[in-house]
Amino acid sequence: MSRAVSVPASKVRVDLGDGAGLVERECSSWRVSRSLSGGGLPGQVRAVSGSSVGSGSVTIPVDPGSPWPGVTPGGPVEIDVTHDVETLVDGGMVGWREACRMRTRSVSWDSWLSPVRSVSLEDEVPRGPVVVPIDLERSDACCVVERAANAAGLRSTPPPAASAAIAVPMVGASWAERGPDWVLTPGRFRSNSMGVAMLTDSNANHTPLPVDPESGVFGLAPAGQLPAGFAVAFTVALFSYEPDAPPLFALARIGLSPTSTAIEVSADGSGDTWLKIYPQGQPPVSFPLSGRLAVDGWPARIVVTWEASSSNTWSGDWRVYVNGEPVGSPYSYSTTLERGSGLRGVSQLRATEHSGLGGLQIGTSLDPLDYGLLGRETALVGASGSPLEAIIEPTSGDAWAIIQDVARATLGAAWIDERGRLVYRGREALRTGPVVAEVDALDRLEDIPGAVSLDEVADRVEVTYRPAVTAFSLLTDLTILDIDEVLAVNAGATVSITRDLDVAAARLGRWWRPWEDTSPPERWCRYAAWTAPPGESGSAPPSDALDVSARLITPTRIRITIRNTTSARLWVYRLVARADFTVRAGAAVTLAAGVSEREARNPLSLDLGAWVQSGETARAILAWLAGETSSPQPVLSDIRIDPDTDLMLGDTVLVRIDSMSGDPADAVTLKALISGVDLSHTPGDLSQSVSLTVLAMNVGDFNERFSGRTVADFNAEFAGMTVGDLNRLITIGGLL
Amino acid sequence: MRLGPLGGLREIVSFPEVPVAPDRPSSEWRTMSGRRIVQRAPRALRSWSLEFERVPPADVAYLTALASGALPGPLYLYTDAAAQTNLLPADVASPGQMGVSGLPLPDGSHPPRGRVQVLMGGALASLVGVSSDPSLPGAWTAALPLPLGSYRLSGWASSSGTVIGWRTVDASGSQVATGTVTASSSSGSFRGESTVTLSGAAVGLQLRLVANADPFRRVGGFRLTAGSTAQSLDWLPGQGVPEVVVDDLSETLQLVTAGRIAADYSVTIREVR
Repeated sequence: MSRAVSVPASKVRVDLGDGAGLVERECSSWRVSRSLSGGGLPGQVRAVSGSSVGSGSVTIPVDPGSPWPGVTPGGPVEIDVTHDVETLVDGGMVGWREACRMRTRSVSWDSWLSPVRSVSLEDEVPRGPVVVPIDLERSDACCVVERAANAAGLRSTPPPAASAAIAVPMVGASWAERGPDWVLTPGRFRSNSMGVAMLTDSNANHTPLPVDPESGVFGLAPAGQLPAGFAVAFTVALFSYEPDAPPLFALARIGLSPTSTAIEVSADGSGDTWLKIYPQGQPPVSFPLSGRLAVDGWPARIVVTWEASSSNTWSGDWRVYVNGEPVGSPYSYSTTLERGSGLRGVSQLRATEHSGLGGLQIGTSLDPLDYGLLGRETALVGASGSPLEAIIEPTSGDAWAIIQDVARATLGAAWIDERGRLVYRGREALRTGPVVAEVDALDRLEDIPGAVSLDEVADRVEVTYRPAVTAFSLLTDLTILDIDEVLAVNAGATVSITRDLDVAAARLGRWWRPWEDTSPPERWCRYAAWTAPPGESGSAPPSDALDVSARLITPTRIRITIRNTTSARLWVYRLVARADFTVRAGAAVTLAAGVSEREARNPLSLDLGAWVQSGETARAILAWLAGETSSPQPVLSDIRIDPDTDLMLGDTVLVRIDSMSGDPADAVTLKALISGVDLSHTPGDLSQSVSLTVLAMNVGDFNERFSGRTVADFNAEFAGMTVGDLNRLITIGGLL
Repeated sequence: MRLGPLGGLREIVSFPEVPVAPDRPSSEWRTMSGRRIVQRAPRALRSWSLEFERVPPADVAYLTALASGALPGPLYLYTDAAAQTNLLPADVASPGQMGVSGLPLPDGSHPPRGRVQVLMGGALASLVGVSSDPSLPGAWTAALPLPLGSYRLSGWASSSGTVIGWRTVDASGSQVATGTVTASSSSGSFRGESTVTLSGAAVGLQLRLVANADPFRRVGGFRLTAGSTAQSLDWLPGQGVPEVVVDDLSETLQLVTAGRIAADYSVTIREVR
C-alpha cells in the first residue's frame, strides 16, 4: 500500500520522428486505459473473457515551430511510472513499473503556435497474415494463438539458437521450429507461473525419433562423426499436485538418442530440486537446483552442455547452467560409444503431471546464453483448457482476428499488457488465478460504484461446438479417396493426379491390385487396370506394369503418381486410397441449459466453433456461462484506488469491505478480477481507477451452492462458526 | 536582487514586501474511511511580485527589456535572501529530497538515498542524503549563475573525507578553477566548509558527487553562501538561483509632464526551472 502522502513520477520516452529514436521527454500529462470487452457477452461474463486493445494519450512539449511536419504518428511511446518516487531509492516496495509500450496513432495541436502536441496512443496488436495449417496432432487451442503471435514476431519461448538443430517450443502443440514435428501422445498442456503453456502429463516414454524426411537421418553431425559438443536447453517448471500440498514426485526427463543418456529434473518430498544426468554406462550425477527451481515457483531455463574431450570415444565434460548461471562443477566421464552412433536426436520426452517442459532446443553451441533466458518473452500464451484432437480445417486471416476468435471461443482473454507483451489466458486461469493483492476497500478505495441489471441475466444458455471425429485402424482400411474414372496411361508415361480429400488423413497404405495380397480388398490402397479401354477386349496387365504411389501433400490433399513401365498403353479404371488415421469435422453439437427454447425470453447463444472439440470442455463452458448469467451480478466500474502500479489488467485481487456499521456481519470479501485499468498522470497527481468483475466463486457458485435451501439448512451446516469463519471460507473458496 | 542571463546578473532595485509564492502541483482525495490521500509533485516553483511606485520609466527599463525579450534569456534570479541562506538549488542542497537528486550519478541516474545528520536550529536532524558511485565521480550539475566574488561552500557526511567536488566555469562551460570540500568531525556528525572564489571569466559554479569506496557513505546538507565569512554550522534549505521568466510590466501612469514621467509598475518574476 502506498503512503498517504506520496510523490508520483513518470518517465515518458517518445520517438519524435526526428531520427533520434526514443528520447525521454518531460510531459505534462498522459493517460492509459485498458479493459476487457468484446465477444458480445453480458458484462459480467465478458469481463473475464474477450480481448483488450489499450489506448491512451500523452501531451508532449516540442521545440518552437510550426507543427507540420512534426511528430509523425506510428512511432513507439514508452511510459514508466512510480506512485511514489520519494520512497523508491530506499528500497521500499515501490518501484518503477511499465505503464505502457504503445504506438502513436494520431498527433494534434490546439494552435499553430502551441508548444505541445496531443498524441493519442494505442497498443500495437499483432497484425499480419497467418495461415494455420491442418494438423492431426493433439494440441491445445492456445497453439493457434502462439502461431498467430509468431507470425507477428512475438513469442512465448526463447527464439531458436542459430546452431539449434531441434527446436520445439511446446506452447500448446508439438510443432517444431527446427527439425521434424513430434508426436506427443498422450500429453496435455498447462500454464506455468509465468502464464506460458508447457507440455505436461506426457508419459510417452518413447516419442518417435526425429528423422529428416529427405535424408532419412537427423543429427548434430554427419554420419560417422561426433559433434565437438552439443547443448540441450529446455524450460522446466514443477507443479504441486494439490494446492498447498507437498509434491509427491515431480519429474521431467529428456533422453538422448541413440545413447541411453538422459537428463532428468526431479523434486523430492522435502521440496529439494535436482538435475540429474544419467550418462550411458555411468552412475548418475546430481546438480542441486534448490534455490533456483521451486515447486509452483518461477520456471527455470536449463542448459546442459557436453563438450568432447576425445575425437574417438564418447567422452567429455557435462556442464549445467540455470538461467545462464553455471551450477556445480563440470562432470567428466568416458565411455566407449562408437562415434558412428553419434547423437541423432531425442528418443524420450517425459513430463509427469507434476512438471512442465517447454522451449526445447538441441544445438551445437556451448554458450548457454545462445539458447535464451526467461523474462524476455514478447508473448505470454497460456493453456486454453480446450484440447484439440486436430486442427481440422486450415485457418487463415489476420493474426489479431484469429487470436480474438480463439479467445472468444475458449472464453479466454487476450490483450497487450503494460510491457507490450501479448497475453492470452484461458478461462480457468482467469477465474482461478492467484490472488496478487488484498485491497482494504475502506482504506484504499474512494467508493465502489456499481450496477446490477436484468440485462445481464439469461434464462437459457446455448453453446455450440464442433467435435472432431477421428478414426484409427491398424488394418489400413479407412478409405479417403475412391476415383471411379478411366485414365489412359501411355507407354512409358507417368500420370499424376492431385485430389482434395473430404477428410484429413495420415499414414497412407501401400498400393496393390485388388486381388493381390492375402488381405481382403477392403484393406490397403488399390488400383484396377486393364490393357484395353472400356468396351474392348483386353486383359489385366502384369503386376509390375504400373508403378503406383501416392503422397499426402497436406492432410487433405493427395497426389497419386502412376507410371506405365510397359511399351503399351494401359487403362486405369479405379483408384482407392486408404489410410491408418483420419480426422473429420463432426456435425455441430449444441448444448443448452435453462428453460426450453420456446419459453426463453432472454436466451444467450455462443458458437464456440472448432476451437472447442471436447464435449467436456463445452459442458464446462456451458455450466460456467449458465452460472454467471443465472442471476444479475454487480459490475463494478471506475473505482478510484490509492495508486498501486503493481496492479495490472487480468490480476485477481481480494477486496475486503469491512463493516461501516460496526457489525461484522456486514463485512464482505470479494474475489475479483481486474477487468479494466485506467491510469493518468499530471504533475502531482497519479490517478488510478479499476473495474472489477466479481468472480463466480463468490457469487454465482455461492448462489448455486445454496439455491433452494432454507436458513435453517444454512444454520445447521455452519453451526458454531463465527461470521469471521464464514467470511474466511468464502474468501478462500472453502464453501465451494 | 540580481537578474539577468548567465554572466550578466545585474542588480535591480527591489522594495520591501516582495511576496514570494510557491506553486507545487498536488492533488487530494479521500478514501471510503475518510483517509486523506495527498500526492505532490517533486518540485515547487516560485513567483516574485515586485512593486514600484512613482518611478520614471528609466528605472524599470532593464526589467522591460528582459520582459520584452530585448535582452535574450535564459534569465536567472539571484536574491539576497538566497545569498545569505543557501544559493544552491533545493535538490542540490539536499539531494534526494522528494526522490529527486540534483547531484546525479555518472550515467545521469539518481544515486541511492539515505540519511545524513546535519545541524538545524542547533540540533542534529536526519536529513535526506545520497551516496556516490563507489568508483566514479558523479556528473557535474548545470552551472549555477553567480556574480564574481567569494562564497562559502559546506556539506555534511556520514563519515569524514571529501563530501563534494566543485569547479567554476566560464560562459562557454570551460573550467576556471576547481576544488573539493572535506568533512571532519563536527557537532556529532561530519561537516566540511571551503571558500569558492569566482574571478576572471568565471560566471558559474558546478558541483558533483565524488567517488567513495563505501557505498553506504551518505553526503548531503550542502550550503552555499555569499561572502568570505565562515558560515554558521546550521544548515538552511536551498533557494537556488533559478531560471525565471519576467512577465510584462503593468503600468499606472501617475504623472506625465513635459520634463518628467512617474508611474507605478508591477511585475511578476516566475521560476521556470
